[in-house]
Amino acid sequence: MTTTTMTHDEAHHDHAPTGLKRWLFSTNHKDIGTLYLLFALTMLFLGGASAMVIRAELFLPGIQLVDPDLYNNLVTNHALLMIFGAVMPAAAGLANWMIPLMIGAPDMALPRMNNLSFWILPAAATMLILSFVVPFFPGGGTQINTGWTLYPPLSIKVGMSMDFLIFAIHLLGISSILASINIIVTLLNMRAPGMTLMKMPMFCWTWLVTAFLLILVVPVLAGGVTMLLFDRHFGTSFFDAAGGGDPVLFQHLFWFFGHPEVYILLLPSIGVLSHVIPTFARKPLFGYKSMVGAMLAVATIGMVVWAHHQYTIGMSLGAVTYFMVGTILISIPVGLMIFNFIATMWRGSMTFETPMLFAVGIVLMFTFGGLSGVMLAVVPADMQYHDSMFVVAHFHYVLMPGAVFGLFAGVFYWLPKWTGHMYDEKLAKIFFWTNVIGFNITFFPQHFLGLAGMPRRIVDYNAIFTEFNVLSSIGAMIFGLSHLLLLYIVIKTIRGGKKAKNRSWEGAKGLEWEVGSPPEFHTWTTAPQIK
Amino acid sequence: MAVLEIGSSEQKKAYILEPNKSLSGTQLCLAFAVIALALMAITLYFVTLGAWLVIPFTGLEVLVLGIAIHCQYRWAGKKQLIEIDDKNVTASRRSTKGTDYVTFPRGWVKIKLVDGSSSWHPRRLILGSHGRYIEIGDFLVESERAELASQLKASL
Repeated sequence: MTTTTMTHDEAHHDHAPTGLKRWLFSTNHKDIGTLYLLFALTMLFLGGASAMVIRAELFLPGIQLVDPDLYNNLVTNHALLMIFGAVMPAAAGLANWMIPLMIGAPDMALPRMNNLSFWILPAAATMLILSFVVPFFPGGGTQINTGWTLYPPLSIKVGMSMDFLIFAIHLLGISSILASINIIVTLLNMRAPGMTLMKMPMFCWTWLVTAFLLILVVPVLAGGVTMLLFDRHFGTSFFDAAGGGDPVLFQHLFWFFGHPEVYILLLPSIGVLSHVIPTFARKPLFGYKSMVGAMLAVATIGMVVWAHHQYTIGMSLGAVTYFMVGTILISIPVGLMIFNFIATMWRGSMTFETPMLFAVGIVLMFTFGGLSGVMLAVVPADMQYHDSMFVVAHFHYVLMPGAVFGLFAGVFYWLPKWTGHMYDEKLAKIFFWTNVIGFNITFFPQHFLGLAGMPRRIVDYNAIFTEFNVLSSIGAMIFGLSHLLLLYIVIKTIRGGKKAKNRSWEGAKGLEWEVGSPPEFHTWTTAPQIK
Repeated sequence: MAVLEIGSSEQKKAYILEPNKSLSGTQLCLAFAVIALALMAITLYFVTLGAWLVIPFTGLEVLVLGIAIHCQYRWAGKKQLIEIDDKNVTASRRSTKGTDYVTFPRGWVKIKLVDGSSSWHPRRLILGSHGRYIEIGDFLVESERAELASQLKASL
C-alpha cells in the first residue's frame, strides 16, 4: 500500500490575483510584507521631512522658520511617524515576508487578520497626520507641543489635535497587537516538522520575543491614553493633581510601554544581524543558545526598568537605586550579543557587501549608543543630562544603528530574494557611506551640545552652541538626502538587474534560500522536514 | 508533497491530508496561560496605582489572543484520510466535532474540481457517487488540490 501525505494549511488565497484587489484583499504573507515595507518607506520620508525642518530651524540661533509650538509639534510628529510609522511597520514587513519562508510555513497562521492589521495602519497614519494638520485650520486648536511622551498636564490642555493623536495611537496599538498575535501563533504552531524552538532561525526568535513584548506593554499605553482622553473630555482626574490625580502616574504608564518599545524596535534588527554576519563571515553564528538567552534577559529586564526615564520626578532613593542597577544590568546581555557578533566575525572569511557594511557599522555605533546609555542610567549623571541634547544624541545612536540600519541591512540582504534581482552594489555602498557619515555628523556633535547644557525640545538656543548646531544641520541634510538614493536603488532593483540566484549570497543558510528568487506566490505548501 | 511508501500493493492506496502543527494542545494552552498570567500581573500592578482603565484593554487582548490560538488549533487539528482498496473508496474526515466516514464503490467514484463561488474563492475538490458527494482537501492550496485530484483519478 502507498500512503501519500499532503500537508498544508490555508485555503483562502490559492490564486495569484492581480490589480488593486490583490493588494486590498490580500491574505498572502509576501504581498502584505511588501505593503508594510512600502508603507514604512513612505512614513520614513514623511518623518524625515519633519526632521529636516527641525534641523533647518536649528541651523542658526533665533527663530527662523517655525514658531515654538509648531517646532514642538514637528518634534512630536517626527518621533511618532518614525517609531510607529516607519520602524515598526518595516520590521513587521520583514517579519511577514521572511518568517513563513524561514520556518517552512505556507503563510501566516491568521492571514485575514494579517490583512486587517496592515490596513489599520493607513487609517492610523491619516489620523496621525491630521493631528499635525488640524491646528492650521480655524477652530483647530493648539499644536501638540508635548513631544511624543504626551505628558499631562500639558497634553490635557492641548486642542482637538490631541484627540486625533490619541485615536491614532489606539489604531496603531490595535494593528501592532493583531500582528503580534499572528506572529506568536505562527511561530508556535506552524514551524516545519523537526524545527524545535531551539532550531528556529534567530530572526524568528527575535520576533517571537518582540511580539511577546508588544502584547504585554501596548494595552498599558492604550489604558494610559484613554485615561488622558477621559481627563480631557469626561471630567475625570486621573492625572489632574487638583482633582486628586497624579500626573506622574501617566509617566509610569507611558514608560512601562516606552522603554520596552526600545527593545521592540531593536530586537528585529538584532535578528537580521544574526543572519547577515554569519552569511558574510561564512561562519555559523557564535553562541546561538546564549543569543537566545541574552535576548530573553534583555526583554525581561527591559520590562522592569522603565522609570530610568523619570529619575527627576522625585522617586525614593530605594526606587532610583533599583532602576539604576536594573538598567545597568541590561548592558550585560546586550554586551553578550555584541560579543557573539564579534566572535562570529573573528577569523571568518569576511566580505563586505552592503548588508555586512551596515552590520559592522551597527556593531560599532550601537555599542557607542549603549555606552552613553550606561552614562544616562547613572542617577547623579542623568540629573545633569536629563532633557538635554545629550539624550537626543544617545537615543539616535541607539535607534538609528540599532533599529534602522539593521532594517537597511535586512532590506539589502533580502532584496534579491524579494525581487529576483541583485541590487546595484556600487550605489548601495555609496548609500551606506553617505548615510553613515551623514548620521555621525548629525548626531555626534549633539553629545557636546548636551554636555554643554543645550536643552532639547526648544526652538531657540544660545549663540555659544551655534558651531555644533551648524555642523549637525549640515550632517542632517546629507543624511536626509542620502535616503533618496535608497529609494532609487530599491526602484532600480525592482525594475531589473542581474538575476538573483535562489541562494543569493554564497554563505547564506536557511530555508528562505531554498525557494525561488523571487519566491513563488505560494511557498512551502508542503512543510519541509528539518533534521 | 511528501510521499511515504509503506506497502507495495498497487491496488491499495491511502492519502493522508493534514495541516502542519508544531505544538500540542497542552503546550499551546501553557503558552496562552503564561501570557495571560503575565498580563494579569501587569494589570493588577497598574490597578493598584489607580490606572483601572488598563483592565478593558488587557482583557480584550487576552480574549483576542485566546480566540486566535483556538481558531488556529482547530484548523490545524483537521485530518482527512482517503483509502482506496479493491472495492471501495473510504473518506474519513476528522475535525473538532468528531470523525465521519463515507464509503463509495470504487468503480463509480467521481472526482471533480468545482470552481469557487467567485474568482477569489478556491476551487473545491469533490468526491462521491450516486448523488452523494463530499468535499475533501478544503485546507489545501490550489496546486495541492489539483495534484491530489489527478492522483486520485489515476489511482481509481
